[in-house]
Amino acid sequence: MTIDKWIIILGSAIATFIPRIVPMLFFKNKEMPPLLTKWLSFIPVAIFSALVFSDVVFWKDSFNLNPIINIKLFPSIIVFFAAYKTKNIFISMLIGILAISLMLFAV
Amino acid sequence: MTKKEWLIGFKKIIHVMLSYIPLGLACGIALHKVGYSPLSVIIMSFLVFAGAGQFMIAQLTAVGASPISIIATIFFLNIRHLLMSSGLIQYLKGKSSGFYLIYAQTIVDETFGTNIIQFTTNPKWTPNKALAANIWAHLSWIISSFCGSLIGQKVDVPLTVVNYVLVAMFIAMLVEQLLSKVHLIAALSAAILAILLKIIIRNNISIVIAAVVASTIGLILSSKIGELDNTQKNK
Repeated sequence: MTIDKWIIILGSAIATFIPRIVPMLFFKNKEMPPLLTKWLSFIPVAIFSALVFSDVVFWKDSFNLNPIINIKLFPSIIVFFAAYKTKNIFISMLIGILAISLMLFAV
Repeated sequence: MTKKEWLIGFKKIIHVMLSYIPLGLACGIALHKVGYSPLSVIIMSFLVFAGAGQFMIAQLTAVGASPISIIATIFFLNIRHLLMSSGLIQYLKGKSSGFYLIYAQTIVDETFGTNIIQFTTNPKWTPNKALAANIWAHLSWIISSFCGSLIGQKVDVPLTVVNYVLVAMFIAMLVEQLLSKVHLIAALSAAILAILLKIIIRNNISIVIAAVVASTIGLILSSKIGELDNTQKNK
């Protein structure tokens, strides 16, 4: 294996560790301003919503709302309701995987 | 950490561990294909621990990108961990530096989502159980990606399905976190912003920008609603 690959691994290790550790070390003995705590309480929904939607409405990197081509659309709606009804992440995932497999097979 | 904490952590993260099997296999296969040895894959999965990031490393290595451009891409792809780490610290006060070092290394979308849901809805959830859950997830990722790099190109899994495993998990995690109307509005804003930004700037930094702006919208709305409550109380 070339030296370049080891540089990539070590460099990426540092690049991914910094954003993970800095806030922890900075705030571990400090009280966070209440406004920041409140702001951070919206970060989880915002991040997961951004992650989900920048994936499911795109097919091969272009915006696509045609459920026959973009086969992630129907399964995603199903997972949404499954999660809402069952409140169980694992069952919802299984339903989603089954749905996308069926779509892949059918289309 | 006690045996019980390890066990409870395991139970709450099992869905993540299972999802990492196909994903880790696919990632290990992809990395092996572009010339990463099984040993280097173990080291990478241990030190980098970023699903999408490691797929990106495979993709960029394949097109011959320079190490510095790959490292920079990985940095921007994972800068969202800055927000996650900040959001988690309020639940992890008073631990040792060693705890923070290990915890930080095991922050990924999936462990963050799982722990935030537990910390906000389960009063029995503790930092130790959270760390145990994270380590289980990390272990599953290391083993699965290593196995993928050993298998090489022999298995043929439809990539659409493999990639969808995490998307399905994220949708379910999102639904569990829609705790109030303001959260719903923040989520919808993030969705619209993420889609528009992805179309316009075509870079993964769009996720971070969308999350930051949407959370600010949530904060402004909640303080407005708070003011409204106060004026009603005053009357």
